[in-house]
Amino acid sequence: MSKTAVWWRRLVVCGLIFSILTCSLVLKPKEQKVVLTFGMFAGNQWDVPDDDCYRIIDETIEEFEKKYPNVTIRYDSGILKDDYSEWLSQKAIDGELPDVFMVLSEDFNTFSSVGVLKNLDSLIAKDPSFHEEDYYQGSYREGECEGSQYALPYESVPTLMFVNKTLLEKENIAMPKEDWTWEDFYEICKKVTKDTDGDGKVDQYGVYGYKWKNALYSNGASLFNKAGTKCNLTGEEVEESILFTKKINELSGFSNPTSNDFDTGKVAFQPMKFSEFRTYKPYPWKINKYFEFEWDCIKLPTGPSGESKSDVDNLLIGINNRSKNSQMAWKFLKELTYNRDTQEKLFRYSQGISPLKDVTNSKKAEKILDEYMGEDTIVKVELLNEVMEQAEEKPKFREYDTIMEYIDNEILKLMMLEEGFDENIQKIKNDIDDMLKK
Amino acid sequence: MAIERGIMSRNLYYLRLFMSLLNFAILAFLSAVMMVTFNTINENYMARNFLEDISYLPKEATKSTVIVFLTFFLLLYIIEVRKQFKHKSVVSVGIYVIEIILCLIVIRCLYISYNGILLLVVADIVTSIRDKHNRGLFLVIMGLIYIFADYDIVSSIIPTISFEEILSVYSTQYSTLLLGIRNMLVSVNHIAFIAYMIISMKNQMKENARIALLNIQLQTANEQLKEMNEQLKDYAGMREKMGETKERNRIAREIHDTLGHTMTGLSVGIDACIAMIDYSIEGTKKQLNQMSQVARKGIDDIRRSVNKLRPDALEHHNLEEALEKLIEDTVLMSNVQIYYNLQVPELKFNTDEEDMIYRVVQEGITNAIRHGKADNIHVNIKKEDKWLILTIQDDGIGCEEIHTGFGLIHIEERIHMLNGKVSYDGSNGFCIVAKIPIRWSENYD
Repeated sequence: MSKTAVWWRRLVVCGLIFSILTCSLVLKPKEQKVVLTFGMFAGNQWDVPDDDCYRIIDETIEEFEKKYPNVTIRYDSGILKDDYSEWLSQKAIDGELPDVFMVLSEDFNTFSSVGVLKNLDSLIAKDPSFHEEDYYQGSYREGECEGSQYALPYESVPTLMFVNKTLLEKENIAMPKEDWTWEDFYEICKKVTKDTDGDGKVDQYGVYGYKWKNALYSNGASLFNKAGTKCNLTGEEVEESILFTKKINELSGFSNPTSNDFDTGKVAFQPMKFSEFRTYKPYPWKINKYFEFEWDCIKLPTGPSGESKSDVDNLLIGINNRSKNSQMAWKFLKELTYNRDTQEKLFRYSQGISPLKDVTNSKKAEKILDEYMGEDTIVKVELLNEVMEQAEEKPKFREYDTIMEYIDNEILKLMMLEEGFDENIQKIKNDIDDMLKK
Repeated sequence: MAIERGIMSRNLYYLRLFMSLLNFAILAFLSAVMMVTFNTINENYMARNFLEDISYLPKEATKSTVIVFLTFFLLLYIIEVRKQFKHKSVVSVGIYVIEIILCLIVIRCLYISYNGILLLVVADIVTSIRDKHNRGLFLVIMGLIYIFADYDIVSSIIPTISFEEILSVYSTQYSTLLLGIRNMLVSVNHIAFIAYMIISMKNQMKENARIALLNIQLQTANEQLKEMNEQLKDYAGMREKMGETKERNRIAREIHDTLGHTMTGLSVGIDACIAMIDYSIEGTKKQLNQMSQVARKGIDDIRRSVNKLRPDALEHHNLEEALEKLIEDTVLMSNVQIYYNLQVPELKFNTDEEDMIYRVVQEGITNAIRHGKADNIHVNIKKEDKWLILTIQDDGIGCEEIHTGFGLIHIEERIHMLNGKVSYDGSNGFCIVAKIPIRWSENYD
């Protein structure tokens, strides 16, 4: 065979291989069906009853599959919230983690630092249609760890102060204004706390379930520095919060109110999550609770040290770090957390509110809330908007949850003690600083 | 010595085999521990706590194991197969790069908990790369990888999980035991590597000594060869002189035998004729007739003798072949193109004519190359009536005036001897035209 013939044959083979490759590159992706998996738990993060937990997800999946016909989304249903962390962890170890999944706040720090969650920075940077300013910053920052975004907020739940209007009227006390302070709060509690039936025991209380952390946020205090390397426990705002909580709780002496006392209208205030507030109201919960008094909800009272921050819980959704379809996963994540239609459904079917400013602060949201919560609901969208805007940005570091639990325990013990507050709090601070160093 | 070397390299071979097996065992141990551990974690619902304790989510264990062993066997296969490509340096370098990459894959898949696999490749590089620069380069690269492929260093840059972290799910006692087994296997691997290096070094030293010895032997042989070469040169000179003398003697003898004999006879005959002519004309006539016969016989003898002195080529071939061979050899030896055009059906003449034609062509070509610096030479031989026309035309520098020094005298003499004519023209290249009256042999009559 001549040289030319040999070269010709080689050229033909090369061309053949090239065209086959091109075919497989160009044609195959179109034919291929992308299967995305979604991980979620039944119910919700706030332990309130939820009948419609799959409804929003199902509808969103339907919408998404309509938009992208080559994509199928699957999810396992029926995983309880209590089992969810373990279920997700096992899937991660088995390499079967869903492409997109809900992240409980207690898992977020670990999952992002261990590499379960995908760092979304590059996806966000490459997506011109995504603007982080559309989210309430407090909720958005909830998905941030060590300067990078690992998850987006899907649903937010602020904490509000629940007020027993009937009780206040009975005691001739005016409804507190929106900008009420600790002082106002303390005064009202002091007036209300009394023994009404004269048996020598206190049976009407100021507040139920007011925690030092409620005071902390409303006093504009931060427990840690931004980097999460130092504890701020001995800071003035923090100490004030702890002492104020102690003072409030000591009002009723040794008898503390129970939740039943609140339900039967014997307590004036209770800090409550928006989700609880929503689920307790509609039928059938209405019958069991709050039937003998009128109520309202307002912001928590502001502390003396300036700007008031609010405590907002968020349900996050993230992407599997090892997802093979991260682009599609990102689109689905956006469909869930960034799509206005999806987010509006939260008001309709879920218990929280949307972390998107446009959605929460809209007439439509107000209308839906009115519709679903009955005529006597007085939840103002402006209040929600304000609370969301003021949400505390909690620093994210891996040991955050462990350390918070530790602090909580120690502070509870500290509040029981009569003396030695300064020394004890200094000791706790030192312990925590040591823990942070590790 | 050869047997000893055989034993040595066999030792090396077995050691490397042992290292391969050991590495297989270590990889199997590590993979098994990971698989069993991850299984245990999931079965005992410890996954969430496990994630809390580790710094990096490990990859799925079964897949990692498959990749580790695929890579490992590919590495072994490459080490075996590479021996075939020892001499192709580009292929060889490429293969080393692949080896390094494979090593890195294994190390990565095992979360940098084991880097001893590098020693296996180092052992291979030490013995199989002969080129000093390449070997140095690869050893430095491997050394650097070995130094930096350490969990504590890498984990500060790339997030990864340590073997200790994986073992954290077990009780202290159990995890210490597993760690101990791993460390023991790693130590054995180190020892095997050190032994390999020692043997390899010993080998190298022996080899070097052997090479030095061979060098000395080679030098001695070289000197002897030089001396012998000188002797051979002297001998060749002597041989040449001896040949010349021999040839001269042969010609002398030939002349003496033929010409001498005839001449002697003739001179004696002439003397007899002189004495006889006055009284017997008849006798003289008879005598002269006899002498004529002797003279003819003498010419024949001379011709025969000359025949023996003919050019080599003509001695063994006929003229046609001899000319072809002459032209072929000339083309082969110099850079000229010779266009040979023979228009005579058969070149078959008397020997003196053949000799003459051959010599003229030879001389003409030689002149064209030597004096004319010609690139193309045309040689034509054709027949016109009784004449044979021989033309040699070249495209050389030619010459304005023709000096009959360039062997042309020789040609002229030869042609005149045969009653031929010769003419030259040096204006456009150089052209020799020789016309020779041929005594065409009977075939052409």
